[in-house]
Formats: sequence, structure tokens, C-alpha cells
Amino acid sequence: MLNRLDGYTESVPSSVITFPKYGDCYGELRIESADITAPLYYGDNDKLLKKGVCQYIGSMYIGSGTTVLISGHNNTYLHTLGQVEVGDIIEIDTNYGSYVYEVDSVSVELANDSSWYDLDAQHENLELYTCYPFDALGITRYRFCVGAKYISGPKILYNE
Amino acid sequence: MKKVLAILFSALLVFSVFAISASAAGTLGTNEQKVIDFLGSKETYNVGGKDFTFKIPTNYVNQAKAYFAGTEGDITPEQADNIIDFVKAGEALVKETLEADASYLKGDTVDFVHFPTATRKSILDKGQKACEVVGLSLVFDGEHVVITDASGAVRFDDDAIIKTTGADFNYTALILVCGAFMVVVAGALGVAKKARLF
Repeated sequence: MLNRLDGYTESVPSSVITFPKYGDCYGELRIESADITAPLYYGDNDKLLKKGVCQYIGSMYIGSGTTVLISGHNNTYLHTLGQVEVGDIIEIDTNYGSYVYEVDSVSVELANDSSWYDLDAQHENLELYTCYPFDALGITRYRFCVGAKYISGPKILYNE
Repeated sequence: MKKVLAILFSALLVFSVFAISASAAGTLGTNEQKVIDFLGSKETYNVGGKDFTFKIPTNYVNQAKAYFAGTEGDITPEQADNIIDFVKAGEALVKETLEADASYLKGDTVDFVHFPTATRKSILDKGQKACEVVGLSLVFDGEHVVITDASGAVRFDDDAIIKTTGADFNYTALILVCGAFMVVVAGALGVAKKARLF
């Protein structure tokens, strides 16, 4: 059972999940320490970024055992992301389970430097980012990045 | 030294072929998993005297996995084999093109958009026709590929991974604000001059 869960606290068979399609709001993200509460969308085009925080569809669904990449605007839903510190808790409620992550890194990175996230990671983790500086207008070279490790939530069993 | 290359076209071939099953909440079947495992694999070729490792970008494979996960049931073994054969055929086209002209390699990336027109068209035509048969639409605007289903939902997007998430820069608003500021300053100067402050 432990091997089947691979470090997860619980599991959910994919057959009972209605997976979101591009544009669907499928959850809510909360960071209490930074007073952030935002609807979570699947897809991250300009239109969706105005409505909430957005998951990049090239990153797997939450609970898939790899990196989940989520972004949000620095003047709306993530304008207080700079208040987040290592050790803070990030909660994500989805339509198939509730997840908790603990912040383990906070940094400023170049947008075109892919070393700060790893879509090939073999463990569940979250990368949250927004444009930096927070008062910047238009296109900026930097992103404020918050990395978080998995604490709890169901592993998706894709073959069940 | 081996380099990892991104293959844009592979996504076209993958999505054009596996758009076959009906959609609903689903699982990853054995045959779909076989396709996912193949898409995530690597192949090493020698191009221009150098070894290169061809690998479909993980963000493309993830979109394929997400698509399969959202469909009910499994594809057949024959469909899985067809998908794999189709992608291999596409990779062979890329390999041929690169062997003929290694300048299509830009660092670690295959410069698909600058492939010979006939080659690029051949790959895109295959993708588009296969998509049309099962109600998927493939659009290539010269830079990006987007594949949508009958409902218009995006099923594949090769847009940049990291998005622009800064405040919108509204030039019109900026001009208006600057104009208003200048009026205020001019007015203030006028008042100051009138008061013989300078």
C-alpha cells in the first residue's frame, strides 16, 4: 500500500475524476500568510490570468507526482506573493481532492531561465510565480518564484 | 556531448493520430500508457558528426497524457502501434532534414519553422487531415500550434511555458495620465509665474 502511494497520504482513482479542460475553473488556491485566495484555472492565457491563478497545461494535474506550474498576475491575485516565506503553507482545493504544500524556496529568477522549475521531476511539487518587480508594468525579465513541497492530498491513480 | 532537442512536429503527429476515442472522465489504459512511455523516451542520432538525443518535450508529453486521462476507455493495441509508427515516421523526416542540413539545429532546438516548405507542409497536412476526421482542429500560424476539440477547448498548446504576469501596460492610459500631469504642471507654473514666484 505504501509503495502504491509512493509517499502520498491517500489516493483517488482517475476514473472518478472529471479532469478539467482548458479554461475550466477547477479549484481554489489559498496562502493564508500572504492573504491570498484565488480561483484556480486550467490553462494560462491572458483571459484566464485576469480571472484567477492559472495552471500551465504542459504541467501535469495536481496529484500526478511531478511539478505543477501555476502563475498569476502581480497586481491582482498574487500581488502579495512577496510576503510568502519558507515554511508557509499553500492549500489547493480541487474538484477531486484537497492538497497542502509547504514552501521550501522563494527566489527571483529570469523568465527565460528554465532551471528553477523541472517538469521532469519525479516527485509532487508546486511552482508558483508572478512577474517581478511587483510594481512593474508590462513585460519584465524576472519572475518571483515560490517553490513548495507536497505535504498531503490524494495521488491520482491513472490506471484505475 | 549529447544534446537534448525539442521536436515541435512530434506534437502535431501525436495529437493528429490519437484523436480517436470518445471523451469523458477516464483512465490511462494499457495501450495509452504504452504511447505515453514511447513519447517520453529518447533516441540518439548522429547529425553532422555529433550525437544528439531527440526527446519530445515533457510539456508536450504531459498534454498528451492529460488528453488520454480525460478520455474514457483505452485505445486499441493497433491504434497505439499506429501512433508510435506515425511519430517515428515524423522523427525520420526530421532526421533526414537535419542530416541534409545541420543548420536547422539551433542550439538544442530543431528549427522546424524554417524547414523546407514542402517538408513542413507534408507534416502539417498529415496532422490537419487526421484531426479533421475526428473533429479536432489544428491551427499553425507560422509560429505556434494549437489543437482544439469540437467544443473549442484547447487540447494542445505550444505557447511559452512561462507567461507574462505583470500588470497590463495600457499605452492609451499612459498618454492620458502624462497629458493630465503636464496640464497640471503647466497650470502650476502659470500660477507660480503670475504670483511672481520666479
